[in-house]
Amino acid sequence: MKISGLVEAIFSNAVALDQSGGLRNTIYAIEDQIFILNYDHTVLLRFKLRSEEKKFEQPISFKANDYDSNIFEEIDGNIVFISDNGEFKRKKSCGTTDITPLEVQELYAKYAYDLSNRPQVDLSDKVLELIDSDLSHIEFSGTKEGGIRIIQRNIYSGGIIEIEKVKSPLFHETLIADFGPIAIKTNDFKALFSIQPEDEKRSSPTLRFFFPQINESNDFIIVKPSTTEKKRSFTAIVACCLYDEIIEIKESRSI
Amino acid sequence: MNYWDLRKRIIKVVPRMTQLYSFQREAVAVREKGRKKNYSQFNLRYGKWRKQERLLNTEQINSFLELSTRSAACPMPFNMDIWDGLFCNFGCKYCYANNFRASLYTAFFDNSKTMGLRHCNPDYYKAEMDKMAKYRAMSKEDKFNLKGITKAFALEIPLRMGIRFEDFTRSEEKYGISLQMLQYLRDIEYPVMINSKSDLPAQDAYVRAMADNKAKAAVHITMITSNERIIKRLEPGAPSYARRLEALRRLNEAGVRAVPRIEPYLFLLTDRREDVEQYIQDIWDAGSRHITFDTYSYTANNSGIRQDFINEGYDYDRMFIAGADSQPLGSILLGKFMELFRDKGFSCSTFDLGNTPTNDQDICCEVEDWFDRGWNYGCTVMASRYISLREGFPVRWKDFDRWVNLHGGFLTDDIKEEVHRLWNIEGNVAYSQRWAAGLVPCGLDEDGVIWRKEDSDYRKDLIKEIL
Repeated sequence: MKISGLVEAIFSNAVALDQSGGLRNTIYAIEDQIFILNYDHTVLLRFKLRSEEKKFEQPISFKANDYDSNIFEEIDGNIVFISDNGEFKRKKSCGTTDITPLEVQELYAKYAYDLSNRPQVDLSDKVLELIDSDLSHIEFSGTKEGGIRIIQRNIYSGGIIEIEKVKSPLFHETLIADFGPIAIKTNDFKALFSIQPEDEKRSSPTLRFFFPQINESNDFIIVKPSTTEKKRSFTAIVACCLYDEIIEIKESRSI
Repeated sequence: MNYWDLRKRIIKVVPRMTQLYSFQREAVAVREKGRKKNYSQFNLRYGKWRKQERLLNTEQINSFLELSTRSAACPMPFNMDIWDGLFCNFGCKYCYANNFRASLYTAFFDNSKTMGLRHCNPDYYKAEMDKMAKYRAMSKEDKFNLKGITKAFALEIPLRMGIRFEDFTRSEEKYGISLQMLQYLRDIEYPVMINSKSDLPAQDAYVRAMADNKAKAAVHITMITSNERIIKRLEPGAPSYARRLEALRRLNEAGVRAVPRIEPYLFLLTDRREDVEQYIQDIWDAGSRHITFDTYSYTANNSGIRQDFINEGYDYDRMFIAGADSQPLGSILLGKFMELFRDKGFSCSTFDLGNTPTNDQDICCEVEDWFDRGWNYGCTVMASRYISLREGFPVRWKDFDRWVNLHGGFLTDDIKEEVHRLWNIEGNVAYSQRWAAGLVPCGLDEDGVIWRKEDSDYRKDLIKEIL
């Protein structure tokens, strides 16, 4: 099958993320949806194709850094990428993944749900200029009165970085409830911004973060582009990092 | 602030990971280098195909006494390698030695994957050590002029077994190679200290070989927690905690210094309150009064080890970031953890440079009062202790150099150079006394940094800043 330019762009984006070291990803495509799941299973991205796009009748999956060409087919359980330069034809064969596209689709459905009860905050990529990429986590918390507060603690040489949104005289963002503190890995946070394509109409890409309320039993964050006119609109589910006494890894709970 | 208060605060600083989907994948801690199999090359000169392969001696390790690569930091760096293999049967998830060995052996040899366990040639060891007996009989001044292993041997720095590989596996039980060496050291009255996770050293023959050694013997038994469930998950092939505890008791009763060893200390994993309280009670009842500790090594930052922890359901990142990756945080956590044991009457020491000023003994293996022969004074752990003892006074390299020379001198010129670099915060600074709490540079002279022990602690300052 030959994929469209839009799908190729999504795949390429996943490959670029993989190579940047931000998210080490696996790509799954099924029907009109493309999923990207990172290596640690802490971030799941879902891209929904437009109705005019060709659907993936045959579900496929492969590791992002195996992606080699926009023409590929599945042969005996392997994905074969085919490319040529007019004189020679190249085939690259690679294995599929341990989890099936259907399982990932079901996983997404488990986490994606009504967002109306979640405190939401818009963050532009300008925030990346202020964070310290060498620190492992970014802590988020927010109050109805005070808005969002972003914190990084330097456990190596001391010091705390605190980031707050500058209040605009024209628009004041209020939260529907308090949330946090919860954290996202710094690499995951940065990678989310690199997914969104440059938008010439806006000064910088902006993402909308839907945080879980305090004491809510859903320890994950949902992230979407702040506007919907994007060609590559996506939804990201990000597993929270939590400040409790537990060392066992658990699944982020869902409704 | 005690350990439990600090622990509560640090969990508010380093969060745990959750996953959208739990999944186990193969952990590849061992980064084996690819070598072609059955590779032949056509030789133009001889006009025929010739097999190209380099074979490792799978039966015997050609080892002899050696000074550790950590001699610049360690007061007891004199090693005897007895057993070796590509993999240790104990299969400890946190161990990174398998990775190093596999990387080395599979890169250079074609048959390393079939090697199993191999051992040293004890006859060769004994014959060569017999030839070295003359050094022990030398005058003090002559001993001081020696270099390298002959000097370490002449000074009677205790030999260490089990540094690179577990020397007390089932194969040892069958072949008795380590036992032969223990008996030989008993016969020549040379001090020895074992590092092991096995209970084999508590069997009668081993106990006798050690207890009858007039130069004395000590055993470090690694026991990272009293929680058998965690032990089973992290050390699947090693004897249970109960068996090691019994070994500890038997050795102590037989007159061998048996020191429990919590290394690595794993934040939030091996420090659960009920487990620690049980551990303290158990080792006290087993007759131990000395204990040694260390943080997890930075070297363990390995994707395969991380995946191994994740496969066991443990958050490696949280444990590693708080307990090892941040040197000051790991160090102060360990320091407070050690106080729990100290409060119960144990003598506690660690190789963690941050805590060396408060160690209960100069020798971080907790055997200073046990052996009465030589040590490696020319190292950064000793430098930290030397500066700390002169609290409030400036200490120059010359002062330390003179003190080391009074106690036998540096083991080699290279080690002296390396210690001097570390003194001046150069080289692999992870092993510099600069990490020691309260040690601050207070000037410069022609030899570099002048140090002083002050009533300060950069680790506590950091905690104040980040909380």
